[in-house]
Amino acid sequence: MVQLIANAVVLGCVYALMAVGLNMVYGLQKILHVAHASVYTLGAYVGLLLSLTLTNNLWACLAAAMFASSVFGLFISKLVYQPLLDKPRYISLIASVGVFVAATELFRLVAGPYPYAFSARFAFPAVKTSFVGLTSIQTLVLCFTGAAFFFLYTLVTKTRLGLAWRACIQDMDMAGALGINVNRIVALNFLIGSALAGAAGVLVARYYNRIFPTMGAVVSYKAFVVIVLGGLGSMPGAILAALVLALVESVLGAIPRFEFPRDAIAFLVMTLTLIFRPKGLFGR
Amino acid sequence: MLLEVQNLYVSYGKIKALWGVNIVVNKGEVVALIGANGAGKSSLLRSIMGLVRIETGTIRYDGRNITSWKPWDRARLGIGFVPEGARTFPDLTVEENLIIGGVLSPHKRAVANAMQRVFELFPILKERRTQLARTLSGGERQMLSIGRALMSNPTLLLVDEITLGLMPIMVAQVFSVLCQLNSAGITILLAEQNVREALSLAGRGYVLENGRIKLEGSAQELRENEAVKKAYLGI
Amino acid sequence: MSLGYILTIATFASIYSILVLGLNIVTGYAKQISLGHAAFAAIGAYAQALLTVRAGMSFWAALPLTVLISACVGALLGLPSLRVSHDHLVLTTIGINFIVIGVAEYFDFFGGAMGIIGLKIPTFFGRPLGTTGYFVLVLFFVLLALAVSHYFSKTWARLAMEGLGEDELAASSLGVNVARFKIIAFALSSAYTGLAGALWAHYVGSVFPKNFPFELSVLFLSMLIFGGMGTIRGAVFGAILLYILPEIFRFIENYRMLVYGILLTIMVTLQPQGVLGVDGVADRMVAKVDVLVRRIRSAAKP
Repeated sequence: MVQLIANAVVLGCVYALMAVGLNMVYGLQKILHVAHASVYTLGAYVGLLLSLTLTNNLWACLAAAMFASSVFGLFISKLVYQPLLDKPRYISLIASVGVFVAATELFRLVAGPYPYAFSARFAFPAVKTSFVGLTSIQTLVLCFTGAAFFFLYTLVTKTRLGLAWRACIQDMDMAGALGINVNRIVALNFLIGSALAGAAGVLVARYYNRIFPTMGAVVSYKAFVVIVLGGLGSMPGAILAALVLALVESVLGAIPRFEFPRDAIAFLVMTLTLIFRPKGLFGR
Repeated sequence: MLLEVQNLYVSYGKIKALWGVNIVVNKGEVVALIGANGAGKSSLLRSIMGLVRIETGTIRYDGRNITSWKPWDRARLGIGFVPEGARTFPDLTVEENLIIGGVLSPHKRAVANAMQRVFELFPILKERRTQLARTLSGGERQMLSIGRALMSNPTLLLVDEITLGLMPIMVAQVFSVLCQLNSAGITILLAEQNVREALSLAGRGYVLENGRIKLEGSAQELRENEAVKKAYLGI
Repeated sequence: MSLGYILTIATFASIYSILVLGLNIVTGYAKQISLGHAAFAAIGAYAQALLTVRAGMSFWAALPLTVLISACVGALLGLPSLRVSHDHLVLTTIGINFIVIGVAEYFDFFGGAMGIIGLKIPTFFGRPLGTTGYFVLVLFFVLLALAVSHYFSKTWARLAMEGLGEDELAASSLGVNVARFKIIAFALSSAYTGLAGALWAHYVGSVFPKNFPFELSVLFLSMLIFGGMGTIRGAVFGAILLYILPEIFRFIENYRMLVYGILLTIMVTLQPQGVLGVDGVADRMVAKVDVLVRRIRSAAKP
């Protein structure tokens, strides 16, 4: 049981890493950033490319993936979302879906439809006690997520940049009128969120030892479920919801002969929650 | 000439908000924009700040054509904005709101000094400095909004419907602050429905109706104009 | 290209038209983006399969029931739209897509992953309809769908719907019962989609959960956006063109979804009204030609 919870927490970390990026984009611009899934998948493929060519070191792959993903995220923001700012919001959503579909196809066409193995090397301590064991990739996911969230928390609460970011979330026009370069904040927002998605892509790829064109789909749908459950735009809510969702999935998945598809469970939970609590589980 | 708006057209979808508006604001003046709700006062101020997309027309500030400038670049030039409804950041503290206002200052010391001056102007804000802006009263929020705009030492202050919903005693206080700021050298463009007060503070004024400039002149002329008397002064 | 092949393509294009007309009701008129219409098609297809294959009903007896079931389920699934915001609703429709596939896959009642096979082409006065006959039948339903859409768009419902899309508060202050109209829109829309699903299932002869993935919902939305949201001509044009293009240009089959994705993004970014939408590409070209003609005329007059 303890082992089950530990595994669920690791899974929850992955959801949370993805959800944070989605939530940052939604919080600032109210865009449902479906193409975030492609950013994640791109990260995994860039990691793979590096491991097949230059170096098989996971840290290098992670860094390359974060760089490539943040560039891609920025690219989407500038080329797709920026021109649509004063159009109705469903338009940027549809454009985002278009990017997602096109990018997934591009991955398939370039890398082929079949999964690749990904086993870049790295050294990280594993945990082994009498009641719970974590492999080294699991501890890496945990530590990376922890560090990322600590970094974000410090940035947002302790720095002037973070203050400007919070002001933009509350009233973007007004923040701009007071001299905050809103475009720069939006870019930074995409940069950070996308870098985390890229990192999540590499970590998950390493965890399951698999990379394939549609790997982003399920994780990002889950991330959407997570941010809805947590209340759209709320960071602590999202992190909490990520852990709850992962736990529920793991527990239900552990019931023998219960094979209802996991993805459907997540959405079932979301739909039911929305009917009874339209602002999400933890939304105000 | 500090600010010059020429032939400005603005529309939201199919609704036309401004039809070829021309105004001029000279350095050191207080200029009032008068008009009913929806006459286009807010649209005019927001387009000067760069917050609405304009169709045609030019906006010049201090000799520079800033028509296509971003709002934050205009703020950098010294344009301050006190919007309708205060629009303070509800989930930031009073202090944080002011820091955001001083975001353009390069030094922390400059921010601290500016904040000190704001606190001298509005002592109540000092008492409330650690409170979230959402917990302030309407009048306090207006003060915070003015204070926030002052943090960047603006040359031109755009003030939109600042007295809307305020108690009469607050209205008097706010106008005396504006008067003080003007004597300290800040140019003010003031959109007001409180016409009597606005015209007593302003040297000149424009009357907006359905997105067009209907009348312009000195405050004296406008006060004595029959149409203005009838429509806005209730005489 | 044989006649049979052309008829097959025409039949599928017609079925897609019905479906996109249905999507247009909810997305074009009521402005509720749905990324789950593949699920509504699945509901129609499965209902028809269960009624004919399992319960042994005839095509004709089952079809009205299927449409009714689809409408009811649509109304039910439209319920969340009353309580949640637009953004939540989009996510809910995506969710519905996954849930419906999940349910179809999990429960043996729906055939599980093996699906249901053995749907037959309907008979007409004892004789089975051939390819031609079935095409005529589908065409009849297209006309019916067009008529209903036309009626729907012309009556006050359209006004109400459009008001609802733009501003719910304004609509409700005009005395429009917003809740009722949202539900009607969802019910009508999924009735269309269910009908299309049923027609599709009979033509193909089988239904599997895999036939109705999320990507299909994206395709439907692409068709509508490409043609022009909120117009009947746009919905039909988008459905037919985007269905037929890859059929004609077989070599792009492999790039089909890539092209759709790029097309969707570019279209919605540069031309959100679509090709045939109100004030869309075609409208503006007509306007330009109009101006040109007038200029020539006035120039011709001395």
